[in-house]
Amino acid sequence: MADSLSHARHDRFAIAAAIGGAKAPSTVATCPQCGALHRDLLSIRTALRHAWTPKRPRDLRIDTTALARLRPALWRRLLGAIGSSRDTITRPLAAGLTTIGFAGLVLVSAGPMLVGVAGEAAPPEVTMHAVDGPPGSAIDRKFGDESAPTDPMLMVSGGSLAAGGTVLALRRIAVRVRRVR
Amino acid sequence: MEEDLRSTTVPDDPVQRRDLILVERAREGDLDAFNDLVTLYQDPLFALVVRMVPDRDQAADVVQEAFFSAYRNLSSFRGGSVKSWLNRIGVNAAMDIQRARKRRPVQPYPELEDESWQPRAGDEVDPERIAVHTERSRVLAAALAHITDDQRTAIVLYDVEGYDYAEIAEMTGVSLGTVKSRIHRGRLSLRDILADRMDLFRG
Repeated sequence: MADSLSHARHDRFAIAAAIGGAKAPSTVATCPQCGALHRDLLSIRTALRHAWTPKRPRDLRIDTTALARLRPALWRRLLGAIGSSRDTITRPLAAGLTTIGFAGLVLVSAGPMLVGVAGEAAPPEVTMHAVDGPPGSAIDRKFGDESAPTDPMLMVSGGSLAAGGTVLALRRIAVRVRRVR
Repeated sequence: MEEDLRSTTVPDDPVQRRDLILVERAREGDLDAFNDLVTLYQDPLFALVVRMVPDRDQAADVVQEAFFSAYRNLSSFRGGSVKSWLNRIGVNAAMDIQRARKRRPVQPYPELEDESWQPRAGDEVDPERIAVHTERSRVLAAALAHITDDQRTAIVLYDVEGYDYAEIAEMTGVSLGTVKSRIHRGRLSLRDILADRMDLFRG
């Protein structure tokens, strides 16, 4: 009983560590249960080293059919290249395209307001010239072009944003596919 | 550019020399040379992997995948021991399957049948001893299947394969302290699991 109580306070972990060559704690010599644990751990280690393993269920040589399957399809190879540790292109490309897209959209939507503010702050003669100008003058045409839905800047910005988003999505898919494999 | 292994390293060990020649021929597209390596190493690699993944069929798939991976990455072999290189690929493939098992609802590993055991070369042929050895191996494998994947991997690499703590830390991507802890806790868990069957292993 007294032995069991004192054994409970002994360091089993240190005894397990001693199997790998570390110095065995003194309790291995003084405590019968620690001594038994030490001997059991040694026996298990020896048995592990000499244990048989299950038979290999099949021959694992590679045949030409398997070799053909080894070469993945083009889309799989591309997906494999995207987002790998060697891929230094797609992340900055996606970030750049997305930034350009956002910046373009901000400019397109804020453009009329900026020009409006600039118009209010402009000297009186400039304003008068604009007001005095004939309908369809350069300034009118410019304002009309910027608010049109087919604004080339809007199209470029939208395209850039979409391309950036697509590259980002492809990266995510590639990383996920790699993780699953 | 691929380097010529024979020109950079000329090992004294005839086994290594033979392996390097086979690797070089395989690099040049000789599938038979690579299959010679498979023939040489499929049993030891399977023995290592099946201890980490105690399911014969799954372990065979892992080893097959490891050989595919080795074939695909022949150009990344930088000389040294081909066996160690293949072992590392096999260990990585086995850890991949362990991680995949964790993500899915895990089924217990199957119990291995008595006729599926492979005596080591030179082991005794006395039927009684074979029976004892088979039972011992079956009980040990079942106990190994019940400890955690991390503990099992660390124990197999250290106690069976003879890698040192630093090599295991590098292979498994954890700290030295974690490797030691896994080994020591794993040993204690094994002993607790085997407590009622220790008579098989004593003496």
